[in-house]
Amino acid sequence: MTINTLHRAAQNGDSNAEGALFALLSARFRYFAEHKIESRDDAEEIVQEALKTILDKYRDIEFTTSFAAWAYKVLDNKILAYFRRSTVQRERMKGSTDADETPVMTVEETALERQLLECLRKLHAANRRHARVLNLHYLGFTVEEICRRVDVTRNNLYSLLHRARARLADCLETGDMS
Amino acid sequence: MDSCSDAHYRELLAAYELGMLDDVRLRDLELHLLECDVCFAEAERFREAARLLRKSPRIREMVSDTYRESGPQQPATSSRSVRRLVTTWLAAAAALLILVLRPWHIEIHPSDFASAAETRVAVKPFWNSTGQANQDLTGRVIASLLSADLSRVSGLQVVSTQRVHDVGANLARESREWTHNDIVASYARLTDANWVITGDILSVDSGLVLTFELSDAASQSVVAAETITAQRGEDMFAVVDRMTAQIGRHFRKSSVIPDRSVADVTTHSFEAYRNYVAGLDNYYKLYWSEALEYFNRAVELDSTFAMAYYYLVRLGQRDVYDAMVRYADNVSSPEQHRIRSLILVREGNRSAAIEELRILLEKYPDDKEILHQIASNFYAVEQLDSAEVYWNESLRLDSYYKTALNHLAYLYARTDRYDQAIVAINRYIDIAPNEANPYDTRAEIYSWYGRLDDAAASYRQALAIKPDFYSSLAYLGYMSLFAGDYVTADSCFDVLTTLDSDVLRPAGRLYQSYSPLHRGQYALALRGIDSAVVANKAELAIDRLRPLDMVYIYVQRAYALHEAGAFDSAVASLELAAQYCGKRSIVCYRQMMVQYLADGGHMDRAAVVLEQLRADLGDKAEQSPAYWYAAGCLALARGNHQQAVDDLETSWSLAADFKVSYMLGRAYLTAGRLSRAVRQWERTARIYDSPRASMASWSAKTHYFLGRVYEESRWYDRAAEQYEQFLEIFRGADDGISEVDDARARLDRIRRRS
Repeated sequence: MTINTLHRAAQNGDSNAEGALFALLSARFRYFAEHKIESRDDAEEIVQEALKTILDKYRDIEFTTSFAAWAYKVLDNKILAYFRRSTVQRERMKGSTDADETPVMTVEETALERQLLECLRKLHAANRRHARVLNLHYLGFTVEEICRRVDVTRNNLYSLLHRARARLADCLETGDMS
Repeated sequence: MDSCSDAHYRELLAAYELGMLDDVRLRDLELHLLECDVCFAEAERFREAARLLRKSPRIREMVSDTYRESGPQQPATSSRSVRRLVTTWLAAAAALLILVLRPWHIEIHPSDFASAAETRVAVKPFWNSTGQANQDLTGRVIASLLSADLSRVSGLQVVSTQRVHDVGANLARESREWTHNDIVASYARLTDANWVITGDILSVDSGLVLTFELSDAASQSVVAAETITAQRGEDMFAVVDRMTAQIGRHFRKSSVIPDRSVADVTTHSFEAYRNYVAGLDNYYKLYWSEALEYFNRAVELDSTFAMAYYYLVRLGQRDVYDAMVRYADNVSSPEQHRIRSLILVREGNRSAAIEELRILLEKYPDDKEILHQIASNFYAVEQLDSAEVYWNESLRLDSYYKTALNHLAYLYARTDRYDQAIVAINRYIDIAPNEANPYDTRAEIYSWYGRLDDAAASYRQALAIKPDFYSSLAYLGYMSLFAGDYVTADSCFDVLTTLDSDVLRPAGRLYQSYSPLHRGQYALALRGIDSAVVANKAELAIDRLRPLDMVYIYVQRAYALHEAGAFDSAVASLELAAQYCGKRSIVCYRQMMVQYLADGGHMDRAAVVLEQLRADLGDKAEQSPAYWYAAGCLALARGNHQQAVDDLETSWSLAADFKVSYMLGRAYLTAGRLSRAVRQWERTARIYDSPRASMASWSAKTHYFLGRVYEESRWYDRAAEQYEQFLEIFRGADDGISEVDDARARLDRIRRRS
């Protein structure tokens, strides 16, 4: 069932549908939030806040567009609020406990990381363009600038990344580069 | 296995995982992932690997190494000679500049700022040997023209005139005799140039005669010297074109010499160019009014002079914007990037503006002004880490760069680095102890941290240097108001009402209402405001007042009436304000209208205004702090506390200002969210800015509400302290203010308890 179908069923009092709807939303929201927010704890808090807002309101709202779009907007607003809270000047509390510096990555190299490094080496031996794009991206260049430097269109850049990702995923599964 | 019917989204996934999608595509893809199980499963499958690709320093390092191994693909080094390559690497090692950008941990190496060219030329201002003092500027004009012209020669990189200006200013501080070799060596060292052009003007009035020398910085030897005499019919621009051709051919026989004259990409009027260069001189020194004067004179002499328009627009003269755009084609290619970046800023496309500036930076990697502009754009879009990197880089080029120090001080203060903020601003003061601006900045930073006395002292220092620095005067008034020094506050505001400025005079009248409002004397405040309305109307009738000032005074009147409990009159005053709102102002204080209608019990009318506001804002409603503020106030008045909290939190997230903070604190309190209420009221109490001054009674009532949340948290001492502060401020307040009665009762209870 799609998210909008689940929503309609839940709105009509189907508690199983409601459970399935929120399980689906939790997984998706967690994925989106962790993509944007460094701290997993903060991301989890944002997700819970968004889910709570949706739970409180979804039964009473008559949706003229789609429920999915509305739910997504709720999460989006919570994430936006989080970033504003983190940066705006009012957050100058001396000794604030909010200002936690989240480490970027654990120090220990994981098995997946080793495998990924190996696959990237293989990929880049054959596809230097991907290495260049990735390097420019890591250096902070925007997509427009990368396209200009590598001399590709934006769509071609996305295709290049897509193909590289497919080969990497394949390599991670099989240990070999097709 | 099921498959997704839209392969387009699958193609975007890799870019999404790396954080390379623009906002529109990102939103589109995420909405798709929300609905498509197949694509979401694919995303989940690669989730951990994608996270590593984004964040693992080991992967970044490996990618960087791989790319470095593929040397021939690096355009920055491929075309250089071995000698230049070695020099560059030595310079890079010496600079040791590796800047780390948080939170993406981007490393910026020197070559990203400065992709050094094989042939880098600095043009020193020509020496005036005519014996005529009025020709001093001509030397800078010729150097500037020659730089502009040489920058169009293929294979040459020319040091920016701005950088040459700074180097000259620094060398002038050293009181010593300069030989030709000293000059060449110093300019080469400080601009990283390997060629330096110097020259003399021998004659102007009786026919232009000048000499130039091209010196190799490594050997400090003159490799070419020429005397140029203007031929009949040749003007300064033609002479510069001739010099450019000779110098260009010297470097490379294959050099492409521009076929258009330098006059075609600057101006055909020498006088206009003289004024332009004088304007630039003043601009670099931050003498804005003088710079404006020169640039304006330049466009009077040549109404097609695009770069003069550009600087006028940058200095805030918006009426010449269209002229700048119209003549933007009449400039050299690098300068077109400058103009385009400004147009993009105006269009609200900051990221594209940054890209334009980065392209320009490749041409002029040591131009601190470009670095500053990039930083300012990052700052405007809240990318403070990136802004910091670029401002620091500009300071690396010029440790005396006041503009960067000023901005960095604000940036540090905003990011809770008080000590660094004070170090930066004190450094600015050391450099310019006789300028008012750094003291004004320092005062503002002090005020952000609640150091009202220090702030007031620093504003006074600014005013001692420049008594007409009126922003300092107004802020000294605010600080005095917050500190309860009404005599000083009133005297500051009174001065403004006497000025011959059509902007400051009505502002002063408006501010005169702050002191009585702060003390809860609403009737007195309203009498003053009504007088101000009469004065404003009289000046409006003779075109000596902006309609906007009528809006401000009626809104202030509405606020005072609302505080006095006259809700319907407050609404009527806002309706008067609306008559003066321009068409561009969509909101026009309707968030206050909703609030005041709701507080007056007119819930249905408030809802109608709110709905109309939403409709008028259209797509922008979701991102409008005013809309969410109005919705939150209406929900609060209806007793829908949770809704009020949600809406006001949204408003706060979009614009963290005093009024929103105040109402959010009230919503938390009524919703029983005590810990959040304490935090919010403590925040509110620490805001010392102009909006707080304008809502002066709320400023005082902040102590009352802080007392309430402390009391409910059983922190009775703190609560008593806040109630006492509030009652002290409202000692002479009008009768019948409910908060006063309540504060007294609560304070009595606390005292009896102890």
